Amino acid sequence: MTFTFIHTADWQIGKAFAQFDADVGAQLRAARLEAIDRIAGVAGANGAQHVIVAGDVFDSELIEDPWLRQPLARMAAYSDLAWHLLPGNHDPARGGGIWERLVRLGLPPNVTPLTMASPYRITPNVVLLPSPLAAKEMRSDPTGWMDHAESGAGDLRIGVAHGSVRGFGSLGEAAVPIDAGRRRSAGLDYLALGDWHGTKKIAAGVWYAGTPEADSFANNDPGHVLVVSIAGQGSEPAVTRVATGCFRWFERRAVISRIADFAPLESEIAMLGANRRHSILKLVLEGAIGAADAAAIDARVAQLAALPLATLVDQRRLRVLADAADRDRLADPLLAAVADRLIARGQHGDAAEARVAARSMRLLLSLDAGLALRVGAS
Amino acid sequence: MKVRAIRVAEFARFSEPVALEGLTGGLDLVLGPNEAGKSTLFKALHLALFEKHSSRKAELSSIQPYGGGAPLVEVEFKAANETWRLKKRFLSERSAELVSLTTGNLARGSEAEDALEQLLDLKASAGRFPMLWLAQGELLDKAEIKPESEAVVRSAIDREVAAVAGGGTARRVRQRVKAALDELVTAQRGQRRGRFLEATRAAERVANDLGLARAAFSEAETLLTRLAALGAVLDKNTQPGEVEALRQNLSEAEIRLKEAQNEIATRDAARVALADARTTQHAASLAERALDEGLAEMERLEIAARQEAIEKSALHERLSAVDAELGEATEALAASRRGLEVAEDVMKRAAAVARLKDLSARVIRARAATERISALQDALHGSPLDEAVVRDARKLASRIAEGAARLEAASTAVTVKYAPKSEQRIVVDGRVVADGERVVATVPLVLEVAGLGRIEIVPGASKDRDQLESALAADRRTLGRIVTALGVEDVQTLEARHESARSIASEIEAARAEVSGIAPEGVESLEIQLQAVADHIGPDPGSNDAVDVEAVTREIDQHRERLQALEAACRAAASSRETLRQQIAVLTTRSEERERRRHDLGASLPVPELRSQRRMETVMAAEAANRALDETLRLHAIAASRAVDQDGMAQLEQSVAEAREASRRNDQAIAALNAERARIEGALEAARREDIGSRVALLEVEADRAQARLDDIAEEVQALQLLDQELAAEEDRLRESYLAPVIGRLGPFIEMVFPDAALTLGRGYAVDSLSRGARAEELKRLSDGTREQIAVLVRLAFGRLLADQGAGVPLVLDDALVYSDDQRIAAMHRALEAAAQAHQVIVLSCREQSFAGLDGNRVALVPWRQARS
Repeated sequence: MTFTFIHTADWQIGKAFAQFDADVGAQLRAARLEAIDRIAGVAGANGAQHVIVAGDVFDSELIEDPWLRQPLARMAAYSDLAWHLLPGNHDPARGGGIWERLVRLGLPPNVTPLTMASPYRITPNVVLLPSPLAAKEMRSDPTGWMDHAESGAGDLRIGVAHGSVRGFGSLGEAAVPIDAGRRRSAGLDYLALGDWHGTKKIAAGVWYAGTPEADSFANNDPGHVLVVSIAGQGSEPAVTRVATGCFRWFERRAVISRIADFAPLESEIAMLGANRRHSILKLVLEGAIGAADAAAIDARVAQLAALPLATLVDQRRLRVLADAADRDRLADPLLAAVADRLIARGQHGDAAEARVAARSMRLLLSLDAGLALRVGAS
Repeated sequence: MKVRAIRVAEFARFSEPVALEGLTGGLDLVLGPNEAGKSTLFKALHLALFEKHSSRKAELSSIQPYGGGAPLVEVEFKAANETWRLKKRFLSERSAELVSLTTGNLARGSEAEDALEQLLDLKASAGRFPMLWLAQGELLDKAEIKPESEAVVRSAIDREVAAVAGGGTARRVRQRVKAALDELVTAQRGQRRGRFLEATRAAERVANDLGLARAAFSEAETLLTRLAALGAVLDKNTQPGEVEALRQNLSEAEIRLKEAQNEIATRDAARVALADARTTQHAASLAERALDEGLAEMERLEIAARQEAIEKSALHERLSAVDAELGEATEALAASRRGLEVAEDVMKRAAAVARLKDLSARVIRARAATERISALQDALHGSPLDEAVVRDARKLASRIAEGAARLEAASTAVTVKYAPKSEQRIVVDGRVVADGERVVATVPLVLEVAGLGRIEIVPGASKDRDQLESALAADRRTLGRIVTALGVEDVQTLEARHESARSIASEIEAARAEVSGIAPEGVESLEIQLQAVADHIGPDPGSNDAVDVEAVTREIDQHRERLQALEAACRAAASSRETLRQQIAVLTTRSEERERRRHDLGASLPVPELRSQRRMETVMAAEAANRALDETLRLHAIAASRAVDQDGMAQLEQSVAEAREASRRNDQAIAALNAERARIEGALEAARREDIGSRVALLEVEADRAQARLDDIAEEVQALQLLDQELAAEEDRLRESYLAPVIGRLGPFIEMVFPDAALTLGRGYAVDSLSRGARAEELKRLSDGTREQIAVLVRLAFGRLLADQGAGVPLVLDDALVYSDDQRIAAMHRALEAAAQAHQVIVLSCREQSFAGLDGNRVALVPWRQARS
């Protein structure tokens, strides 16, 4: 009989998003809780009765009790689902730690912490082999014990672990090595992994589910859970990714040398339409523009940044250079002469000197034009 | 602008309307003595041009006419190719009127003021007037021109050179750059201020907060690790096996200790039983011995009793013999004593009779002496014995004799020498004067010479004599009183009586000494003694005369010797008797003690009939006790061999203590671990409440932002400083070209007064120095005259610059060039004449001679006749 379950990971409940305003941070925090409901919905829709969370259920061991109670309450609400929670590097299972707090708070009957590295039977013929982390870092592969873990004949063996698979190009954030060949050496029917926040297939039957709600601009396909169906021992698991993310985090880079170069970005953001309120944008501007154009760019960046729910702007690599066109805006010959000297400094000085010279040029233009004296940095 | 006429009425010191007419607009000289009103007139010109008629400024009160009225000023001038007449009245009758005499256009009131302002460009370049209108003394005090005037010059230069150099906007830009910099850093030391300082502090504050938060986070992480380790230790300590092992260990140690304690108790009981057996055995042995000893002693006592009875009988016999000896000796002794007493009585009576005789004789002598004393004392009664009184009488007698001699010496003395047959014919005071008698007249004296008459001799009166007589009389009275009191006639008698009294007194003393020797205790005492002896002897003492004292004495001695021998015999007999009695008493006492002992012994011993049987029983009991002791010794040896010794016991107790300590330590460790866990959980709960992880993340973002803001402001400061630096550099470069218009116009004037010299202008167009040849001198080091001349020349250059640009105004010099010498003032005259070619120059001076050589139009104050109209 086919066994279907939900593989998810890296919920990181209670994560703070300090880089954003408080209200945005609150929305993003809340979205990670709401993801539980969406996961339950996916399970229901796919006939799964078990949800395996492969580590980092909580963002920190130091989060307040409400951030423990709320996910428990949400999971408890889906009493037909069994939730199996593996401690990860963010929430390691150590004495007196967060998992003991959970127990003290009162675990719902359908929620099981996988805090012991020992076989755990979840159905008459399905055994979980969990590798909980007891520390933030581990030098040895926590899944090693699976090779010798016993189970009944005909049992489906499902490994659950949290860490970085060796040989996998991009390491996760946890300093925990996991052997990519563990599925084979331990005779696993499926190895459910967590830590890599994107959805990623490592090998047949070896998957990172990724976080169900994106939490960074990393371009690694986050915001999914995996629906895994195993027809029987030795058969290839059928894995389906299902989107669960509410917010879209994306980064746009643009090389600007004139104002017109900014227009495509504006078009793209404008096309977000209603989705823009669920969009988190990181805008990286590079290149070099004249001092006069810089002020205009500033104004348009400000307009653009207001469209998504939140926008982080990085113009550190956008150089503002004074040029002859800027100089020509100055009617006073003395100011024009000063502009020439500033342009020369920008062209011949080092990067820092050029940056200061450009700033001086922008100030000069601003003052000459009767604009406010204070001109913001790029 | 060129002034043609100035007229005033009811203005300050001018009681009558006056006018300055006929100004040419070139070089006009207004010469006149001091206090002629030149300066007042130009004050009126200044008010007319620059003070609105409607002004209510307090200083206008200074132009209030002395005789009352409203000050009126009328000025005719040429400007913008027209001739104008401006009329203004101030204070009580405020009015203004500007009329073009060329076109007839007329404006009044505020319109006139507006038209004037526009005509003279007063709003934009009012500073040109004060620059060129120099009141008395201003040239020395204000070598530099005022800022508004500097602006006028700069504006004029701008109009001339802006096309090539620029700068107007640049100056404003630089001012704003400086203002912006001033908001961010201090001008002196470049220290941060304003939002730069705020951003710096904010960055530091956030960095500090972040440091603290990170430390708190790190601490929390450490606590989590510690908590996990603590949990592991606690689990180990609280494992059932661990705790049970400790308890089992303790229980076993306690059992072993209890067993050992029991064995020791058994040994101690055996030790007690052994002691009891030994006591029993000893008692049986003692009983056996006591019985044997009692029987033996009883036998000894009975033998001793018999011996003592014999001894006691012998002693009693000896005592009876000694008693008989003593009786005899005692009787002989009594007889001897009676004989002695008789002899002694005879001796005592004889001694009493002798004493009676002696006392009788002494009483007789004492009584005779006493009677003699009484008679002498009677004889002495009334005799002068007081030495002091006698001495005083002697002194007075001596002084009287001396006074009489002196009086006599001072008196008339008459020695009578009778002629034969004339004897006794001379009588003085009824007394016949003897022949050869010397009569001294110490008092008035009358010599009666029978048959001849009376001769009265009166002593000469004198003060000394009177005093002498007075003293002499006083002494005689005193002496008289003394001798009278003593019952004598004169001093000589007194002396004789005094000597007699002293003799009697000596005799009395001798008689008293005698009485004292005979009866030291008094005659009465002697008489009492005599009476007592007489009473003792009785009325018949006569028989004693026959007593043979020596025989009686020998008899007494014999009695005494015999008495001594008898007394010695009595004492020896008494001593023997006492010794015998003591021996008998000792025997009696010993006998009594022995009888008591025999009685006691008899009570403790069996009756003689049962003594053998009783002895047998005692011997058997002792043997049984010996056997019991042997058994007890054996049992004690067994118990002692089983009991743990002291070291073993100490080890067992140590084992129990250690097991108990181990258990206690475990409990304590568990309690400490639990407490530590509670503390850590409390600290972690606090960290959780603070959401320390989120706080660190938030502060990291805040720190980045604060630093970015600080960097931005720092960059802004750098940019502003760079801009200021570049603007300053450009300004410096262009200053030379800016000064060129002034320097170019100043040159010819300088050449006229200071040939081959050059001026250096600095900030504010002030003169920095004067260079003559290779030497440059700072302006402030130059003489007053030179500085004043240079100041005038620079104004001439400014005036020329303005005139060249069609904005010329009159240069007014009020009592200037007062410090110039003749040569220099002549040169200045040429310069003024040259300047007047381009614009009006008005010179006011009280020194007509100094300006005699100045080629200009001379005007003087005249009555203003049309004023009333």
